[in-house]
Amino acid sequence: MVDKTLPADERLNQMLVEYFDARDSGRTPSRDELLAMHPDLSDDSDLSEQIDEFLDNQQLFDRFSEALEVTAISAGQDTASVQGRATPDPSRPTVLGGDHRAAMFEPGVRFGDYEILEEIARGGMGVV
Amino acid sequence: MNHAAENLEDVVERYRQYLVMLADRQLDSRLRGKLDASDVVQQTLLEAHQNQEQFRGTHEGELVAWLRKILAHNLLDAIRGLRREKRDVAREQSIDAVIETSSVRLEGWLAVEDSTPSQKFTRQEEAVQLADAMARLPDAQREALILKNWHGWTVPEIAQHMGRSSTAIAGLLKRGLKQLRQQLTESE
Repeated sequence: MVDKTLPADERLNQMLVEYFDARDSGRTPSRDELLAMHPDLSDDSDLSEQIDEFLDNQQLFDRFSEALEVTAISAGQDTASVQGRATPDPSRPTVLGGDHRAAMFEPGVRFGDYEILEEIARGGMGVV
Repeated sequence: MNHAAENLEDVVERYRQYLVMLADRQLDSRLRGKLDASDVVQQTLLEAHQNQEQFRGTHEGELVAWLRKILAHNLLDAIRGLRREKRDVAREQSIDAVIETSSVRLEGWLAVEDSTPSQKFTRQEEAVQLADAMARLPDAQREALILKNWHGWTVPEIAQHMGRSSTAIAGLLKRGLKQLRQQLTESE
């Protein structure tokens, strides 16, 4: 329960802890549900405004965060049949496949929706 | 990107925070105390500078794909170095599994980098804006946001890790998000 005698900022933080708890157990409360969890505070327009602001900010963060996710692309995303190409630098451990796979990356070769147009760089870090 | 007009080094520098956040995103949170993403990125930018003649791309998307790839290699090397260091330390054994998982994830990342044209990354600019804004946050706010949003820790877990109360963590998240919004909407 949120203690009504606490300063407004602290009350909001307590509500957010409950919000995150609920979200972590797989049921993200809507704004109204979040406010409904605290009927005693429902007349506090300042608090509901701050909750709106928080949810907006979280949403914006999620949108930008998704952009980072897209550029980071982790394993398992349309990589099933794609083998990487080894770095030719002998001082580095061989991470992925060997040179014999180079043919897979010749211009014109297609990967799903993508087509290799040209090799843009080759060197110690591998072929881009 | 115009090589004649713009020094590669300056262009690369713009992506520093983006690469740090990318490394933070990729690294298992349990390795974060053992590996400094900023150090790995510093090394990455240095290598990019030293090997710039190897980059023959024509636009910035290709350059960033190249940087990501060097970064992934360096992270993989750093993680493997960690494994060698920790091999004899029994109490660090649980870390081995984490290192293994991180290595596999990075290899997957590299495989995708190798096969996916940079044109895919149309949202790169947003990612760079977020990373730059994150870098300007107070450390505690950034740490809380990363653990909560990118590594899925619960608030009590973060509270224990950072030695603060749950409500204090909620406050950090709230203020961090607010500050990010101000910065992100300013730059929009």
